[in-house]
Amino acid sequence: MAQPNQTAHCLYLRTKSAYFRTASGERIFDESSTACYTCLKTLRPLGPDGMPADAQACHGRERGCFEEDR
Amino acid sequence: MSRRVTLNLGFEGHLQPVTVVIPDDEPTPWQWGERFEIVGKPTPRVDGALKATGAARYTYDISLPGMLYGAILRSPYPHARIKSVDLSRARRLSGVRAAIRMDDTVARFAGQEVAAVAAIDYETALDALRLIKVEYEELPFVVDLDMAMMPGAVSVFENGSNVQRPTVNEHGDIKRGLAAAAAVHEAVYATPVQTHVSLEVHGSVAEWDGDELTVWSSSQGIFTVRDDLAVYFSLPHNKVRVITEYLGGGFGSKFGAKPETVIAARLAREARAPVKVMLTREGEHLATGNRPDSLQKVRLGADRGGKLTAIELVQHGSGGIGAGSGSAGPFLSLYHSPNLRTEETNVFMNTGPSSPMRAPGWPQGCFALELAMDELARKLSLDRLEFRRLNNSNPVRALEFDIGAKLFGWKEKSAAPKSSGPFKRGIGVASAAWHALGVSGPQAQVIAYRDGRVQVVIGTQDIGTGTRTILAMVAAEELGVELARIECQIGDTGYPFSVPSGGSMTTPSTTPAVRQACAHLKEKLLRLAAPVLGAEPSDLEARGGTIRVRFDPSRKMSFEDVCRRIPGDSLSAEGERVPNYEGYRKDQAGCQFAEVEVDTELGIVRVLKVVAVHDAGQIIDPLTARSQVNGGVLMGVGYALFETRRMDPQLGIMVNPTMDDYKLVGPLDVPEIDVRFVEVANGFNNTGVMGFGEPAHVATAAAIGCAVYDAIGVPVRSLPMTPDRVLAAMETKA
Amino acid sequence: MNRFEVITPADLAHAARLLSGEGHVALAGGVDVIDLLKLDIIAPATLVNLKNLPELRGIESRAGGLRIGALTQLHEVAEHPLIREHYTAVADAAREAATPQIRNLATVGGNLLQRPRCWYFRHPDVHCLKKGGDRCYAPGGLNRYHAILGGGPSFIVHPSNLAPALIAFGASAKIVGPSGQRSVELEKFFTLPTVDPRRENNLEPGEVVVAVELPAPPAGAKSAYLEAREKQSFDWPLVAAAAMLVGAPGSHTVHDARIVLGAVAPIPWRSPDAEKEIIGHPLDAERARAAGEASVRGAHPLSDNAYKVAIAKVLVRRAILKAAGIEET
Ligand SMILES: Cc1cc2nc3c(=O)[nH]c(=O)nc-3n(C[C@H](O)[C@H](O)[C@H](O)COP(=O)(O)OP(=O)(O)OC[C@H]3O[C@@H](n4cnc5c(N)ncnc54)[C@H](O)[C@@H]3O)c2cc1C
Repeated sequence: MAQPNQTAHCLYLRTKSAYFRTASGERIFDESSTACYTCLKTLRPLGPDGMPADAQACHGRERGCFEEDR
Repeated sequence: MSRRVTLNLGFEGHLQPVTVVIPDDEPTPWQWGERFEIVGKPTPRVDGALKATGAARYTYDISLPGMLYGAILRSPYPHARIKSVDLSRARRLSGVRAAIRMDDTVARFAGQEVAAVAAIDYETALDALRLIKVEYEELPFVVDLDMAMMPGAVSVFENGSNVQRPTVNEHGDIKRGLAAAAAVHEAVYATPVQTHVSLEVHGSVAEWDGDELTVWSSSQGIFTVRDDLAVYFSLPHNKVRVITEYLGGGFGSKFGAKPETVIAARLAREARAPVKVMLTREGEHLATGNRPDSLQKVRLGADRGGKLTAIELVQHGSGGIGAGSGSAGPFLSLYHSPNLRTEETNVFMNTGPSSPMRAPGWPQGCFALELAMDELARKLSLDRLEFRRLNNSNPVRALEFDIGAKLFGWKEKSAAPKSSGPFKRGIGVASAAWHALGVSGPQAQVIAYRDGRVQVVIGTQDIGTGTRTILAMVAAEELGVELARIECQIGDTGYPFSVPSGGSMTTPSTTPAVRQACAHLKEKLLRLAAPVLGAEPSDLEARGGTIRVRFDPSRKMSFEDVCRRIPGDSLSAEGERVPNYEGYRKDQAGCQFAEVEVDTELGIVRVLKVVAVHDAGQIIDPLTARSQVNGGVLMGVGYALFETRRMDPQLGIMVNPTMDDYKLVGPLDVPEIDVRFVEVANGFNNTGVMGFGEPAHVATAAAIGCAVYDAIGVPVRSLPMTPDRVLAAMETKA
Repeated sequence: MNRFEVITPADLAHAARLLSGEGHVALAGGVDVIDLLKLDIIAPATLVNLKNLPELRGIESRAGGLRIGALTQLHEVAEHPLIREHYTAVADAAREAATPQIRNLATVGGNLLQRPRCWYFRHPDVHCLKKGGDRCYAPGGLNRYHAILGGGPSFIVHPSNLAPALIAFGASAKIVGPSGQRSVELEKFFTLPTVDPRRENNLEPGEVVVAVELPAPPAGAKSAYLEAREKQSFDWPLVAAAAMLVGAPGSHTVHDARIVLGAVAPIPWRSPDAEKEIIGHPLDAERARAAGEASVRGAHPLSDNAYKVAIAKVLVRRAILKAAGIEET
């Protein structure tokens, strides 16, 4: 059985680079200083919990609103 | 399943044979000096007439039977708790078919979407908006970068600091580098918020059929919009179809499913009818993204000989309620320095979120770095171009400096005495860089029909760069047929996958897939022709509208005759964009020269001339290539002289969200633009194409800033260089 | 935008009657009216279309002067040979305005009566003094394009290009209203915000501007109109200056002069101080410079617009010299 990926980015996180995928199919989350993030759940750069969305904060399961990208 | 090919990589005078490994079914990459019949020839856009006559269908033009019109209510307050939204009166208005509210409990910028309605016509929808009752509790706000950074500033996010964790890049030791310098220059540079101002506003038409959603969207990424909608509405991807036949500009703000697209789909679901939501120009300015502003503290040091010993940037910028305001790119890559440190910090404030915009971060950084370079060159009494040559990081740019300087007349213009009257001329030069190799992923299908027509089918979209034309040219070249035979089908997620049009990646990502598909189709066509011509398929070639024997071209069949031997109605083949193989350089250079005339009494700057020299891989269509650069330069002139989002400190609103007060270049503000390309045999993919939509915009404002400094003898360190700033700078001189 | 109807009156009297009614707004070229509707600044029940009124049309010579019908388009003013020759500043003011498309639609009457461009006034969410609110946001806010002279309690600038040039020639507006007709010098037609911050002129309900009348130009009159803009296309002046000079026969001495600035004050701003600097003196660059300095005497710039004072000085000097045909060295 496949293990849930503990370190993946949230299903709802988007940024320009994440609209492209690596040659092996993963979304690219380059944590560049020019990355603008959007949470698809709120359609804003913040999560449903009202705090900023970004590659660091929306990574892994610590955040209550995190949902795994399968 | 791979083979080795040797490619001549590099550029004029610097070519090296390099052996690269490519997949078996990948056509041999086009080579340096390859002779083409169609590629590289100036070719008017295949859809130019359709656009000029209005026949091209943009999202704005979509009209479906029973379609409703949506309109969006936005928060008038920069920061407010949304206590209640009462839609009942709006719902009761005759002609209104749906009304929704957004999930937010807080509005964090003026212009944030609060509610939306759909009605039988747009006027009724506007009437309905007036009937929506929203109860706000106004909260304190901050809309100014300086203020947002201050300790004790109003927090944009509850209890959080507005100042995010900095991003630091460094090598060497900046202190040592500054200590070793013969001259050090330090100053703060500021750039404004620039908005995208796509001529076609953001928006979509959404239609549900059961649980299947079709969306026509003004989008630069049909598949990314599809994916976003599928995730948002928890639908399987194959239940969502996104169509973008024609697009009136994007510039980075139209990647995914943004609020207006989701709103259209939500309204359509509630109304059980198709709904069109196209933004107002005000909505565009407020809520669809922007290029963040910046305050950049720059320190540069150089030794007596003009070698940089230190480059330092301490930058703050605001992506509004979002991130992404960094500007270090140019500092990290344009010039060599043994000691370098950049620190970039995003700051939140109560303004609309930023979004990627044509070379995110680069025009900001380039302006600060290049003007600082000029100020340091003056301290060292060095020619500014020479100073750049000494520290230049890219061999192609060295050649571009030479080409540009000659074309521009740098030497002659530098030597020309300054006028003693109020009109002063000045010149400047700035470097650009980018990295647009393209990515794997795109798939293409090419179909030849019995009647000799050829269709190229690929789910890319034309952001305005001429994608249909470029793809048709590549297909025509590979199949050896005239351009008119090719018809491109793009802009529909029903077609094979392609990537969004961003990061200057469309042409380098899509042309190799199309070329591979055409190569595969060609193999099939050669096999059809072989028995007729009494030759092996491997001895045949497709050229000049025929299939012929390579060593005896008199033995040939017309392309049409070959197609008539297709057993069914059509013959098709697929191709894919394979991952980048080895190549020459992953970065791209470029430089721009600008000449300005400043009315020193009125503070008015006019840009007279821009010479833009950029490297490109294989140029497919010189006309669309030049258009890319023209557009980048024009946007740069606007950024240098006119454009800025103006936020009122009392109300926290943007006071100029119109095409009148948000000032874009007009016809008389357009300088003479001279574009030159240095073709680089770059490898990486089978067409050798690199993108350059973004690099064309990087250096323009910087070169203009340097030229203004040269003209008036004092730097104007803030963009846009409006008359008040130019006059204030002149005053510091007096 | 609200819902409204459009009525095309049969004659001038009918128009005046209609316009006397509550919620009726005159429509000429519509360039500004449509914008004001879209911004919810006006919400009339009825637009009264003036375009069929023959009295409002045509450019005619009258008693040595000119009568310009209120419906005359800006492009006609810019190109008319008599205006170009005898009222050069007026033709240039029309030519410098807006864009070719707008000049083909915009009328003289509408140009004089267009509402200010202030971004607070034009913002649908801002209820400012001009819209019956309790404050003008310019002094405490973003005021780079606002008034440096004559401001308070509202700090708008009058947007018309034509007005300063017409005033430089002593033009009058011919007005027909429900109770007859009147003629008013344009200089007295525009009113400061101290009179009523919600309006820019003294046109009364029901009144229609029928024509602008230019008196015969004084013998030996020369004029010029200049404006400074951020952009060369599609932009509004930061400052405009119209200069009309009358030379004493056979000498360089300025016999009479009118200097009128645009975009610096809530009304077209005539500057008697600047005029005094040159009247009765032989004209040279120094005199012109002194007039430029005098033209902004008493200016009260706001936080962001002191640069307009500097620009006004230069523009007045340049306009005077241009009118006089003196090349600056
Ligand atoms: C992009 C842009 C740039 C511009 N740049 C400039 C510029 O640089 N300089 C400049 O001066 N102008 C400029 N304009 C403004 C333009 O010149 C005016 O909007 C135009 O002249 C208005 O004329 P109109 O006939 O369209 O008037 P309308 O819009 O029809 O009317 C304007 C107002 O006058 C009233 N009105 C019109 N005619 C009469 C009449 N005969 N009697 C009584 N009331 C009347 C209307 O009720 C309305 O209140 C610009 C406009 C735009 C859109």
